[in-house]
Amino acid sequence: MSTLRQRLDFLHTWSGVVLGALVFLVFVMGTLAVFDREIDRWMKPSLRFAAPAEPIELDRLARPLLEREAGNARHWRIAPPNPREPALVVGWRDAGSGRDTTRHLDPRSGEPIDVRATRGGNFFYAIHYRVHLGQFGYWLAGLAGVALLAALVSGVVIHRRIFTDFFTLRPRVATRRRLLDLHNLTSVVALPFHAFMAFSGLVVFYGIYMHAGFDTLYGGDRRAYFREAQPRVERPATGTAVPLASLDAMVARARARWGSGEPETIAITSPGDAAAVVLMHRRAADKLALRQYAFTSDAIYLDGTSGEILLAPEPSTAFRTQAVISGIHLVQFDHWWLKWLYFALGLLGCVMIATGLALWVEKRRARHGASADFGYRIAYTLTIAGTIGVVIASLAMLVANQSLPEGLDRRADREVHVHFAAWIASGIHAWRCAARDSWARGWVAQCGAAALLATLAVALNGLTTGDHPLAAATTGRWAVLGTDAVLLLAAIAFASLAVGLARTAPRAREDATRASPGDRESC
Amino acid sequence: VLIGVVAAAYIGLAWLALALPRHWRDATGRPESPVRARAALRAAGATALVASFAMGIARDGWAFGSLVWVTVIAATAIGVAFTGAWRPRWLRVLALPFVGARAARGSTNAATGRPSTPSAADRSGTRARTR
Repeated sequence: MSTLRQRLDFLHTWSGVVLGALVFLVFVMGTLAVFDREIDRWMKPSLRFAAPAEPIELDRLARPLLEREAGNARHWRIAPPNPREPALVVGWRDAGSGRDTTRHLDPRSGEPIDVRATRGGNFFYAIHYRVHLGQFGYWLAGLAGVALLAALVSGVVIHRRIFTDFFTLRPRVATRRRLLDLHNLTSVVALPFHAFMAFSGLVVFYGIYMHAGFDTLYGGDRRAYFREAQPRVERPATGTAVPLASLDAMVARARARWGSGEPETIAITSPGDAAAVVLMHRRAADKLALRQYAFTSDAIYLDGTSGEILLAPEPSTAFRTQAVISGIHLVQFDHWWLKWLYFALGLLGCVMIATGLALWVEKRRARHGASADFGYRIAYTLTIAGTIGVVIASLAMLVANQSLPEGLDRRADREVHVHFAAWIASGIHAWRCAARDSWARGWVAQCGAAALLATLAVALNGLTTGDHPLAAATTGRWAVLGTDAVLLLAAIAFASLAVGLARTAPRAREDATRASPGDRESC
Repeated sequence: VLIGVVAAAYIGLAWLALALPRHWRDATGRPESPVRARAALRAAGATALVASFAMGIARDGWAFGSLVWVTVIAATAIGVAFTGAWRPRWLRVLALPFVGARAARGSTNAATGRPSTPSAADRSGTRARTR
């Protein structure tokens, strides 16, 4: 038993140390992604309005622009407004160049809206699942999920008193003990949630991670698998021009088939052709199950010329299971309490990883004394840049979002550049602090920087858009108010963390040099 | 009703915490919890958690209700741990029904009538002990 525990301790430590920063990145971005649309509206001030309460007329509002500007496009996309995305969004792919164009329209007048050039909330969501590294990034995020699962399982085994210490948090013991308490508490308490998130995250992208199934049964042809698993309507364009039937009538038909709910996306293939097909997906506002790759019963194919329903596919049980599991992961439903709980538990996960990493660095520092060896410096830098550095980088991006001039060339990219520049700066600062053996200074300075940046982001938003928290509360701009409130809370948390660390740092240094009696007593 | 889900979860988890010797000691100031009280606390805690689950289901249905419950449990467990760490005496209110008749009389006397807000003496006592 003890050897098993030792081995798993080894696994826990090293999977945590090597991949901890990566898992933290995935975790913190996933936590932000719970409110990606809200952050999006914070970053795009022209979209801070309420969506119309009633379904809008697509034939009147969306169609004229598409017919005028995308008459020869092969694909049209329409996203009607919903409570989280108030603008009417239309898009098309140009037949010749293959370029995608997206336009935001006022859902009441159909007038185009100028939207600030920014990656918006999707930036954080995209890091969450592909770490900005394309196909390789998906694998990295998957590795993070597996590492988290391994760390959770091995953590349960090596935790000696999982039940007697279940609620234990001792505020008045030595720093390292406190870190361990916090690490244990946050991991154990939210274990089911974190384990499920890690697992379901892998299930969401089963098509990437479990490719062996496609290889064995379908010779690697993923499309063949999907065609067989789920029928779809694919019709080549005939070249005969037939006007597209009324979109509103088609939406009404889909709505009648669903029983309730509204379409989230409408995709039109070969518009204006005799073979036009319209595919609608129902917005999963009231269901856990989420369409993935368009394969749940909530997808409907309609004939673009007659407006009749061609196919409403019934997904297989396996697909439905996958839809529920990924739906629980992707929180697309309108259940605000649950979203905030997800957010809170996501933050707990961040605390779990950050304390785990800090604990390891602290132990190592205590064991090797004050002299910082090379491995320690790397671990220290990774820990700081991988935890608080990510926060600083994201906050710097929000500050850049509210302060860069509107007309700036490649503005969206500049914001990303600020993000990475701040991240690199955090790493350099951490490296220098490790070298000077002023470990506490690294944390104190960076927590202070995060607090300042969060406050600055709120202030800049208030100054440049006029939506300071009070105004946002009175005009009912809850997305703005919520983002500001979280930023201010984060500022308070980081500021008090910085102050607390600055105060305990001398005491902790003593702990390191002589074995503290408090430490031994509580072991 | 969501308040009910949270409250029942909090009370249930607090009772489970009080079933552990350390938290019993911190909350009541008594060295040992009687074995019978411990078993009763565990049973009561489990019952409150079931009640919380039932309220969640009643409010949101099976799909969302169970998800709400799982997340609420985790969030309130943190709350219980924080209470236990910084204001352990607040949990005494929840411990009172389990102290036993004779002992309870002694405990309310010591608690100066209002056990939910610990007096300065209580608090300094806690601090001295944990040091």
